[in-house]
Amino acid sequence: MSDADPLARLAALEAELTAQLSDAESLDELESLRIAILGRKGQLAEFTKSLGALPDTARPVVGQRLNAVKAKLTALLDEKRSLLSRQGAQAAVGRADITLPGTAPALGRHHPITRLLGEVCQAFESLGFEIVEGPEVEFEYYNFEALNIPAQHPSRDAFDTFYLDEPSPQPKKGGLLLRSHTSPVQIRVMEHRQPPVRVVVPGRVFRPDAADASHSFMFHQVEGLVVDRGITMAHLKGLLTVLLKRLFGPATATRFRPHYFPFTEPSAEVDIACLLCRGSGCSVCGQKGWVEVLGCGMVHPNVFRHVGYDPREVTGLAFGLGIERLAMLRSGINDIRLFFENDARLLAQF
Amino acid sequence: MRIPLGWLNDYIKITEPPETLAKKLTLAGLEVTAVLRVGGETILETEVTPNRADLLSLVGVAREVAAITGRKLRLPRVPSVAVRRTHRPHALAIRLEDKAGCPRYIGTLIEGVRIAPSPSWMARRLEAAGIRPINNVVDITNYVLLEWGQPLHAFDASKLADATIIVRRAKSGETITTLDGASRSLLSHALVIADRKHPVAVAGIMGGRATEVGASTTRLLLESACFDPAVVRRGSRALGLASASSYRFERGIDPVGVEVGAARAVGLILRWAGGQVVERVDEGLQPKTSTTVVLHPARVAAVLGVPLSAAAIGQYLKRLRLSVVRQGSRWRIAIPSYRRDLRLEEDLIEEVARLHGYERIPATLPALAATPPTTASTSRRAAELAREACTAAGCDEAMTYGLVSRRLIEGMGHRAAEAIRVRNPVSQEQEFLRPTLLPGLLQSAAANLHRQRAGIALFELGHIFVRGTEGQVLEQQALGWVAAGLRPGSWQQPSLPYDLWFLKGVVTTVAQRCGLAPPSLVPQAFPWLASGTAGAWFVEGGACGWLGQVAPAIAEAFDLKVPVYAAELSFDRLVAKATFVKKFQPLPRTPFVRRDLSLLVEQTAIYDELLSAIRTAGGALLVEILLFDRYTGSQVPAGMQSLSFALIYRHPTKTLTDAEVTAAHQAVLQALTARFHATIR
Repeated sequence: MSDADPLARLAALEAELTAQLSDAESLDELESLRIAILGRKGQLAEFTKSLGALPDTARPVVGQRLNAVKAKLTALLDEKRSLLSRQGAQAAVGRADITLPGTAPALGRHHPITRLLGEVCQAFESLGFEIVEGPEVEFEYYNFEALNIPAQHPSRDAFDTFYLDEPSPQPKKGGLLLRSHTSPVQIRVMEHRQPPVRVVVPGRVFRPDAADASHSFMFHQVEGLVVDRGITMAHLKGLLTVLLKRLFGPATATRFRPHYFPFTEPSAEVDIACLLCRGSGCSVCGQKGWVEVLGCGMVHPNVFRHVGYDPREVTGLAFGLGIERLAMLRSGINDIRLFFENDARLLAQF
Repeated sequence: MRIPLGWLNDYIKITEPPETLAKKLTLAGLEVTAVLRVGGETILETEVTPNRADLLSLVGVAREVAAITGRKLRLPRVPSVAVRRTHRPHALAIRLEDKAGCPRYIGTLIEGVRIAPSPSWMARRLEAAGIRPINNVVDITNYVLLEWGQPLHAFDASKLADATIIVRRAKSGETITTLDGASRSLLSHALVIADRKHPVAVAGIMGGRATEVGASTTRLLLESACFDPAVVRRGSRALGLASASSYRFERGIDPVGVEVGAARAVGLILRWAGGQVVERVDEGLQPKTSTTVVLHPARVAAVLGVPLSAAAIGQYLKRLRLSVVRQGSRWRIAIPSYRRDLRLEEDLIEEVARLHGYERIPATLPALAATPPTTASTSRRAAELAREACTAAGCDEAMTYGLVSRRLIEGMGHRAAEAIRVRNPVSQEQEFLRPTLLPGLLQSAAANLHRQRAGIALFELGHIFVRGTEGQVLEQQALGWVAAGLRPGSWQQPSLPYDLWFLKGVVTTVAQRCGLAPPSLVPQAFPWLASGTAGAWFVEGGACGWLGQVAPAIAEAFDLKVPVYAAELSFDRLVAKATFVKKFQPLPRTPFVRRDLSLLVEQTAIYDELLSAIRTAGGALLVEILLFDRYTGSQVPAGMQSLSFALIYRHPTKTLTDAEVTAAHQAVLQALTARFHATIR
């Protein structure tokens, strides 16, 4: 062999060493190969020694070629080392069953009524309304008289009320009671500020109703009030249509019906097309195709007079909606009492 | 009210299918709740709002249909009553002692009637309207009540003491047996119809049994009167007795209808029961037949937001049979006596709106004037943060009833005498305003655990009601928690039970989210908490709540078998101190050195005291103290506990040397050994 053409020998050696490196299966084997090939006594060093016998003219050509082979093998070695170390790290990770259940800490849930109250309030906040709250223990005056509901008037029938067995701290404002609607807060707000007024009032209300699937002696309402020059019934329709579409979806059909409330004139009740039958009539809507969702109207001039507003100067719109009822309609909850049982299985659904 | 369509058709032609008519009425404000078909008759069931007493009659509904459709009315002819004067000119006298309670009373004395069943057409109509036929005279009074909305009453005149009818307030101790057979004591504010001896009817509500018309009746006294709505309402409520008559009087009848109703009934009685009128007395005020309300047509558009011409408005008013006298931009509208609900311009605007159709009013958004931006109140902001902190800690939000029973209040160790009571509770379960959130939360926790749930943690943010220093009612916002059973675990980590420290951590987090320093918990006894576990919360110096394990006797009362932990904070007091704008603390640039410390101390040693001793001894370099392990068990002597702390040392501007840290740490060790006889492990 030593007599053969040194370039041919070098080519044969290159092919052999390349194959050895390519076949290496571990980093240890690769290191042994490195020493055997590129080490001080390695195969390439041996080959260099063998060049001593070459004529001076041939030496530069073979030398150049030898350097190229050395560089190529070094590069191959690095590449192979990096490949093997990547494979080794991967092997160390092993396999994971990613279908096992996740283990994040269990979060608690907001009550569905809190959520819906927040949703309704947010809708109005984005329209520039202010959120205002009022007391649950209220004076008779704010709950009734100031809202144009005189004593001994049949319109009080719709507002059966819990009265407190307590002396009134301000007898001029009548006895103490648990408010039967959130409307008293309208009066409390208007008593202390001048128009324009734009508020929403979330809160709890109480009525001595016998409990059944659709009645609870305690529930939540959101009241809305806008007072300014030039407020019209068209605005009332506009605001409530926007709200109902936001709550029940953009395709929600609404219907405004004349109704009676002592504190608004004209007054209306608002229906939405039954979510189940979409208006054709089913057991949920009592075959009517429509479900009543809220009451509203233009603020009655007597209400303005009670708070010292001039009904010839300003007009107002007001509305009130029962949150439990909306939540029941929206989520298909069939018993209002479920909201106050606080069964975690229900809470976890919202 | 039930409206038989065949009957209604007498007064106005019904040309549309019943469902179409029902929809028209509903959209104009007379809600038809059902269309019934009973034995060939179609009946509309209506729900009448309290302002529209006029719609409690067939004639009223016919007027409404005429207004909606523009069709012509055909009202029944009402004959004038011919009185045949007899040889007894003073056959009947009526004395109104309370003219406010009874402004008008028409009494008609009819003799020679024959009581018999009513004609079958009348009986059928009454039945369709939901009234049981009795005899011709009683049926006629009911028929006219339904037709015109005028309540009437027929007395057997021969059972009256004499020919004098007195309308007066009841005297104390008076009683009457009403037509329904019940004997009733009359309160002094009750208005009664009386003869010279006894009350014979409760005015506007129900007649008396003693003067009831029966098979042998031949002489009738027919009453057609007007009673004050509030008087009737008070009487009806006091007696717990309502009738078709009281329902209409409470809502206000047509004052002119008193005369129409009397005449119509007399006409029918003479036709179907025979007899002749021997006397008719009309006592009291002659009513005004109409009142005037001013309407500015321009205001209709201004309120409704829909352009309506004066001509269109005029058309709608005409259909309502309201006559208009135009004086430029002021229209004087004559309101007929049966529309007592139309008293203000706004009432007329609603009339125009509902005839025009609410659905034809456009839906537009108001151009809302810019107002200064409102910031959410501190309280709402704090509430939001508190809810977030609680749910992030794994507590579910509860909403419990604001009214609780005496049993629950007393069970919590509160005195019911101090609690605030509802005067008219629906049941004993809802008699008192809750003075704490605890009973509701315990009920909810129990309900969950009884449904096979391994553990539950609930919180509620709501109002409670307590007494102030002068006994006044104070309404406060409170934030309460209850936790019992096992916390949720996973396949990696076993479920740990809820405990005091879980709740303490949640409460502390809430306070921190509201920008407060961690509140301190100071041992204090509360009647509803197990002794030795209870403490009071202090936020920035003020007491503001409690925490502890619920006393076993109370847990047992709720049938809770596992330890239950609870806490409550006065949310108002928390909010009063809350701040949401935080000041930035520069981030340290120097490394810290951690030295661990394991102590063996008696179990009675108080952690807070150890902590402050460590803090004091560690000096300014000791920046953080973390308890990372606590052990009490067989590896330590009885009565002892092992506490392991990580102490973090740091200098604000330079890297600490080992010697500096060791000196500080040694000071801590010495302090603990000296003060607590602690053994360093």
